[in-house]
Amino acid sequence: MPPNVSRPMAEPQADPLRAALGDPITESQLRNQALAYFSRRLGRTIHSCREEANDAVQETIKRALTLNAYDPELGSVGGWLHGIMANVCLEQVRNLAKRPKQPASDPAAWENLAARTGPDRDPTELTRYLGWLSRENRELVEWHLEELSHIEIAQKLGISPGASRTRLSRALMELKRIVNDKEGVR
Amino acid sequence: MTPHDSMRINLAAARYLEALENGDDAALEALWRDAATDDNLLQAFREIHEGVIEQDLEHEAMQVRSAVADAVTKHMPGAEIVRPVAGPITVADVAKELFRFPPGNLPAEAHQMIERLRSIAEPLPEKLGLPALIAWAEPRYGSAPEKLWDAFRQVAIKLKARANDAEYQLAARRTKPRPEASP
Repeated sequence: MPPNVSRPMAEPQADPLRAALGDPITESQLRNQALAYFSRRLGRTIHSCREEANDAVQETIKRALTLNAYDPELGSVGGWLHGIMANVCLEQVRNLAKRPKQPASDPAAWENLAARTGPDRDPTELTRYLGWLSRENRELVEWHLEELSHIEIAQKLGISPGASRTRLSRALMELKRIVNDKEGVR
Repeated sequence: MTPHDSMRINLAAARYLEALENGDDAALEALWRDAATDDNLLQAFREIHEGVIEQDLEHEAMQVRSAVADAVTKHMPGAEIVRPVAGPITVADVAKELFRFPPGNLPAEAHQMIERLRSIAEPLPEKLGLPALIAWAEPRYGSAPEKLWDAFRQVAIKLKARANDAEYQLAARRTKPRPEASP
């Protein structure tokens, strides 16, 4: 039997903000947010948005350190940093040529979909709506209703969990449009 | 995470993607406020970013491949675009390759056999050693010079190696001028 060696406890991280900023994954996650945002708002390819995304990451880190106002009571440090990044991206887009904005979606339409697909849903009505979806999207929504995880969906389809999340999101967007068109909600 | 949570998060992720694609900054701001205190939601939004980037990079790569293929077809009429064969490699795949790039000094009956094999959609055997290949092929398709089976074996190994390569391969290779293309 190995001797009972007492291992020193890990030092508690005194500053969660600096710890997060020192983690390369944080930087990569922030860059992904910027790339996704800029590519959509500027209507450009991911490759052509890298420079703006890198600038946005640097600006976010700078602001986070300058503000130094992270409060653990208000949520995770990651969430706080993504919130700063959202503002930085918005400001950068305002300074660049932008794609015309699309009409904003109505939260009521999403709430209506949540009610139609939630625990108190009417199965007959939902089956009718699902019938309007493409075969691929119907399958994804059915898996969502069966509460499959994205890891399981990704395995079934041979794709990444991120791609599974994005595909299901598009399927739900299509279902929302169908449900609300049929019911006259925007 | 409860099943109800998972459905709520899937819907919120869909709202996030919609807001991202429509440039709805007010909705994005509200969703980021929610994510600040919800780690599962934060993770879902990060996955959306990964999915969007992956999808765009795939699209870009497809456009590049298509542009390269178009350029090769347009400017190098004597070139062949090599792509891995989908599904198992068949006898016909190997025979077609031998037909396009015949080894030198094959006797006439070997060319006749290649012509016959071009229509055989049967997958290749597992063992591609020369004696095993001959023992497998001759009862099925008739006898042929050993030189042909040796060439067949080499091409079969090359096609299998190419198919095993996970990445899409795009290569341009000059072919010998075909007789009908000559003035």
